[in-house]
Amino acid sequence: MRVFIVVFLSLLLFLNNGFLLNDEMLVVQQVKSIENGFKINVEELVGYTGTPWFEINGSRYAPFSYLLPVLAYPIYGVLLYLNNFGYPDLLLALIPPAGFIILSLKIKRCRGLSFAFFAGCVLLFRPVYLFEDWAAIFALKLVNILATSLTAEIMFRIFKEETDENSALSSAILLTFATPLAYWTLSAKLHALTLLTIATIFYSLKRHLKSNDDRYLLLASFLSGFCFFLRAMDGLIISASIILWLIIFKREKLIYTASIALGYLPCALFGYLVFGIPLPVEVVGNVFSNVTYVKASTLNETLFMTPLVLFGLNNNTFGILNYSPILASLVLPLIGAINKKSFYHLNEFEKFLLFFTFMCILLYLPYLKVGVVDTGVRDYRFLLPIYLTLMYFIAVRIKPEIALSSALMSLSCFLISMIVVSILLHQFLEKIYLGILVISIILNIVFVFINRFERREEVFSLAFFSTVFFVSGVIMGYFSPYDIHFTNPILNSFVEILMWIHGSFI
Amino acid sequence: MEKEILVGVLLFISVAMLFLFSRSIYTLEHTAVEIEFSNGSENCSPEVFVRPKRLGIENVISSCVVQREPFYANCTAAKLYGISKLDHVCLNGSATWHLDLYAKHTLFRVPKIELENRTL
Repeated sequence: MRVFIVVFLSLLLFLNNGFLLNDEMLVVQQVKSIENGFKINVEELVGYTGTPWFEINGSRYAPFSYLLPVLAYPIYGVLLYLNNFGYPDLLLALIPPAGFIILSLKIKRCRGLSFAFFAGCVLLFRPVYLFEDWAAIFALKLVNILATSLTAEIMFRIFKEETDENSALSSAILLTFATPLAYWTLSAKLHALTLLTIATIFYSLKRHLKSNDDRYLLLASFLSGFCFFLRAMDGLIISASIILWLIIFKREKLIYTASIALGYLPCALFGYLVFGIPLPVEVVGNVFSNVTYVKASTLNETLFMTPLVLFGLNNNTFGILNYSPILASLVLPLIGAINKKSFYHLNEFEKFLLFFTFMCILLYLPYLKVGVVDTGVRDYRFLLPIYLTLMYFIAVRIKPEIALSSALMSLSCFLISMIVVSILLHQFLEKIYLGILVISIILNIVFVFINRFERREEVFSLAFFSTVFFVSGVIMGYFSPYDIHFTNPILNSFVEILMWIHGSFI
Repeated sequence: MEKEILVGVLLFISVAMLFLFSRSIYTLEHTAVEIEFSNGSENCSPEVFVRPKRLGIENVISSCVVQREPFYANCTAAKLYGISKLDHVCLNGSATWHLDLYAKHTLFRVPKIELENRTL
């Protein structure tokens, strides 16, 4: 559970009460709607742009999965209960430094630093203003943090079977912080839960292939059916990938995919009991009501934007190589594999991963323009599942290493980006995006030739460049008319000092 | 392992105690501002400057309003790092001016956190 604990504490450090998207306000309403038969109260959505909720049988619902709000609801209740005794945000502020103290007991040189960090948090703590929806926001984000920590642990176990422990551990941490995963984990969206389900499916398939135990195949099929409850499209992609993969490679085992129907049952039951239609909520919202939430773009638009998905900047959305420059480390091995035609030497699990990646890109491509680019988000969030497969190939082919000694470089990356973003972001938003693009191109070149560097662990720490995206998201919140704070008192104070410096310059 | 458990228990007790006494230890300080009036010309309101004196739990002044019926002037969104300047308004006669400061929007509500009445 080492990876789970490290990722959990690190993500908790960056917890904040900010929103990145409009939709998150609707998800907050979903949490509160549980007491009210899942009907949302749209009148409370002051300042919401658009109307993506739908009306059925005279009631209004949100067109997003209700599973995340249902899982967040117990935490929501606990936070509200704790609020009777003290400031719950104090617990959120002190749990990470307390955890780091326990972890640092084995590392002598970090011990003093971790105690100082804890003391700093105690001294600098100031309660966050608890507006009426604070508990729902923190509850949703805490569920996401738990989900991503479990995803990192599961992927670590998958990596460990194919590579050494150090590379597996580094890859699991890079998966969390060098991809858009951390960004969406610290939001109220449900991508983290979907990725946890897909990672568990990968793990089950790997176990099945290793032990030939069919129960794991049954579990993988069941979970892919269950995935429809989280994101219908992801459920479709993973289920179709398993079925087609079995048809091509293991036709005799196709019968086990019947458990996909069993996994779909909770989703069907929910849809039937609440809307009278046994389909996922996104489908009900898009097809059986007057809301068309995400439309497919035309063929020309799709073809035009395809290269930009891989590389470049489309509106405000960075290509996957620009968001996560570490992925460029796969370029040379890929070219080598094409030259040697060594694709045939992939093991069965790797063939499945490639199959899944191909399906994911193919099915999501027509929806990326309206669902991602036009909404102005920084990454192609629909393609998040492919980061699991790409990071697998990085773990087993590139064998990344990050060392504690390179933590200073990672911290510098983080602090410098924070300072630049805090001081410049407000006035030079467009130029900052171009600056990020230029830096990412330089990093892409560095990562293409990663194997030529002697001190690889220090170069790999540059992959944490992606943290600039979620940090800038929160810092922009400090400039917005909303009351946004990091729950960590040291980070919060640091941003406020930067804002003060910014004020002195203007 | 024993040392880790012992430190863990001690930390748990410390955090729990801090939490239980948090409402006594930590005060929920609101943002305080300093208001300065420059000399206005005859029959004109003075210029109003708003400066942050203490950063509280709110990090934003979203709006401020100086009002004297039937006229009023708005200073648009201002942040706590800067100085908010309110243009002067010219009128005949003296009057009582009310300065209302609104700090931050929450996501669903705009709370008024501080009201300052000034008679000029």
